[in-house]
Amino acid sequence: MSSNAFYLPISEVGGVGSHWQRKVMPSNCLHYCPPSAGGWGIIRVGLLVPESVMLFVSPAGCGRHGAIAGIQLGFKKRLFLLYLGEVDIVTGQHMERIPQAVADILATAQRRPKALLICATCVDALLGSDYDGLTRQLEAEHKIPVRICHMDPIAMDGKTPPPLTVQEAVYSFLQPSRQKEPAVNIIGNFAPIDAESEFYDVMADAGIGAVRHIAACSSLEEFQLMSRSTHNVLIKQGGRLAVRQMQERLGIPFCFAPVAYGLETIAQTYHTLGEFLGVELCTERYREEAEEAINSYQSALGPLSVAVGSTANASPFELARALTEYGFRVRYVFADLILDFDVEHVEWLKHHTPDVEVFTNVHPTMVDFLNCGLMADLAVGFDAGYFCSGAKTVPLTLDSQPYGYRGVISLLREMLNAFEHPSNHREQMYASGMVI
Amino acid sequence: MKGLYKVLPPFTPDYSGVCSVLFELGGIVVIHDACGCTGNFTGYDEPRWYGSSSAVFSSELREVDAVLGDDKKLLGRLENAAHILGRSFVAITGSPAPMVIGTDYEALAHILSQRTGLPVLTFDTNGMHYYDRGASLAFMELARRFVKPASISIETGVNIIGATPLDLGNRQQVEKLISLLSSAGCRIVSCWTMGSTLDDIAQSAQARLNIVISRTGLEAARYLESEYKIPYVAGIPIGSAPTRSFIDAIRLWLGINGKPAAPHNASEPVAGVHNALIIGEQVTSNAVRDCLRLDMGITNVTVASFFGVDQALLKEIDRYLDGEDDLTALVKEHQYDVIIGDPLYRDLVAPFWEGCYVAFPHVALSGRLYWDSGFDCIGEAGLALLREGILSESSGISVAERVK
Repeated sequence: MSSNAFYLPISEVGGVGSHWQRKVMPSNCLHYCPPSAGGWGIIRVGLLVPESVMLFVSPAGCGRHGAIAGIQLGFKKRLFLLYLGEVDIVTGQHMERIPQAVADILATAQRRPKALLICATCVDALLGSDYDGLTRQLEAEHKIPVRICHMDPIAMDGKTPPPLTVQEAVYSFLQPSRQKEPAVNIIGNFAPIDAESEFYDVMADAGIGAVRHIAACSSLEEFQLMSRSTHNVLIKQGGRLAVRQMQERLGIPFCFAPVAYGLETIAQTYHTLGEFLGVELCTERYREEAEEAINSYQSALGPLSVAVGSTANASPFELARALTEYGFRVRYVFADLILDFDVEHVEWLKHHTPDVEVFTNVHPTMVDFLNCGLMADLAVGFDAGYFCSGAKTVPLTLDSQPYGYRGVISLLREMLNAFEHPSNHREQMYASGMVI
Repeated sequence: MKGLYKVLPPFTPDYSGVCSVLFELGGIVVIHDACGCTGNFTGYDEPRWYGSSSAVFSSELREVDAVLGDDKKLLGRLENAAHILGRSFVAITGSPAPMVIGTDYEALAHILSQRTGLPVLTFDTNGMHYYDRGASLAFMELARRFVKPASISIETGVNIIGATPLDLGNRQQVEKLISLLSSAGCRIVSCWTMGSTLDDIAQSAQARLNIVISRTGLEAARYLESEYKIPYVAGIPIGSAPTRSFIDAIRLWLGINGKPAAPHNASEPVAGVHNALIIGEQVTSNAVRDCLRLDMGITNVTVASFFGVDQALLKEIDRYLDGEDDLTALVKEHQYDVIIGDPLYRDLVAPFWEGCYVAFPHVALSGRLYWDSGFDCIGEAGLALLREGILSESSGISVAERVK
């Protein structure tokens, strides 16, 4: 290493923290926010609820990133902001202004919204504002479902961090249904599984009539059909509170079948999924297809060095392992958290690629990254692309959802595309509308 | 309804104003927040962030620390950063959560200064005010804490005060301004705070004139006037005739000989334009008004601002806007022929207004949406921009028809 940036050899990665998410960075550090940080953000996730609007109640500054991303990405017209002032903080008066704001929004909307989310922030978390009574009042008054969600990063290290609670709020719009259909809901991610994935055929062969995802629902009515599904498949950890709540409230059991890119991990995932559904899933031919693609793309791409980031639509450690197994040389991993799912893959990397260096995006020394001289041919994830500035970047964003063996092929195709048609990282990243 | 924003995104908040002013000065700047506020600044308010090595951080405040009032973590993190990064000062700027728990910034500064030996600046911002307040506080603090008495006075020396991308948009605007002033015979002692170091700013008292290019620099300029007897002018050269007058005025202040601009002949009013509204920051908007008046003969021009307004720069016709409803009411009442402002204001007035809208991006509203647009308004380019927006190639057509 030629820099002073903080990093750990993979052999020393253990993580700091006591529960389901451990941090790579020591706790006595300020937090750096690189330009490449971010994801979908709370507002965009909340507005996945079809035909909904959101009232964001906060000090003026808090909604800025979500609102501008909303203009970029087209959801701003469903977002309304009610600003809190100092007097509100002292007196709690803003709670009295919310009903008036809601009435104003509903009265002037071009199309009457069918659902309302109210988003509270850190300030209300500290004030202990009571939104439960307010939602009941608003529901009774306006005859639409109203839910509360929170953009309170102050709770990020707790058991109910905002990326998880917002998904819980989103799925709390689902009403219990007596009617059940052999269908699976895909939970935890933000885009339907790519149409090219074998997942749909595998489910159909297993007798599953429908694969449902919130982003594929064009109406609140269609979204409600997810209540009828017999199974929930959690493919990203962000939905873990939501699936637990749906199990308790709607009686839908869930199974964790994470997005993965390693062939063995995918095989194990399908095996787990088969046991959960009570059927044997036939996936061998898809695996063979992926193996052929790996050989073919690996020959085309050559012995690339790769950096893997945490903004990619993947577990960075699992992806690093997968790329190593394909035959590429992974030099760097950029990761801030180690989740339970990551542990097995961290251990694998320790044994098989001990020279991998793990950086965090957020350590204060990363401000001097330009002096780091991190070199890689290819970077997967905007963060890896930012810190390895000479690398060609595969964004692999959350806006589409590769899954299964064909997810591997999709990744390899994107890698080749990035290599043959490299894009301007800055333009590509800002255009994606990522929100921290 | 007051406080309800249905169309506009939130303006850049006060803590981002602080960070923008301090961005290039080589300190450690910390937003005391849970990370989201810092994300506003780094992602949406600061065009210089990508590729920079400026040390702007979040304190990563968490619920348990806030509830227990535990400042030890913050102090420890700041000390650690000061140790490993070796910068020249520390600044802490507040966000909503520390305001709720009543964080004592002065005490933090005192302790931290003792522990690190560095100057520590603190700003009691809370995200409920806009960038102009934070930037103004930061400029004032630079004037108060870092400017040293001068042993010499540079005859043609000027400071430019109030330069941030939040108002100027991009670095090229500052470079053009500096080039214009240099060509006029001025020597730039410092530019607060784009392109100058903290050492440059410390030498500011050597200048004979301060040029305040945004309202955010006014308070600092007034302080420098009272403390170091340096007078100031507030303005920014936009347009042809206003730029000549601006340069003449600066030369006159500094006693620089030069050929004065030829007397200005009043322009013929643009056909079909009876009144105009400019929405934006006060100094820039006043400069745009001068351009409309002197270069295009449009005299009935209102300046309206969602940000703080200075009474000394205000005309009777001007308005402070306290929300979307104020702007819609103003436009409905006056039915302006021309509106000039950030493109996002257009969405607010478009449902009920028809006229000529001239886009004049303001980072403090639209953030990253237009900051790469190559916007250019200094000098003659400002006139070209406005002329192109207002005067279509077919000048005989009425304004409303042109927009339709």
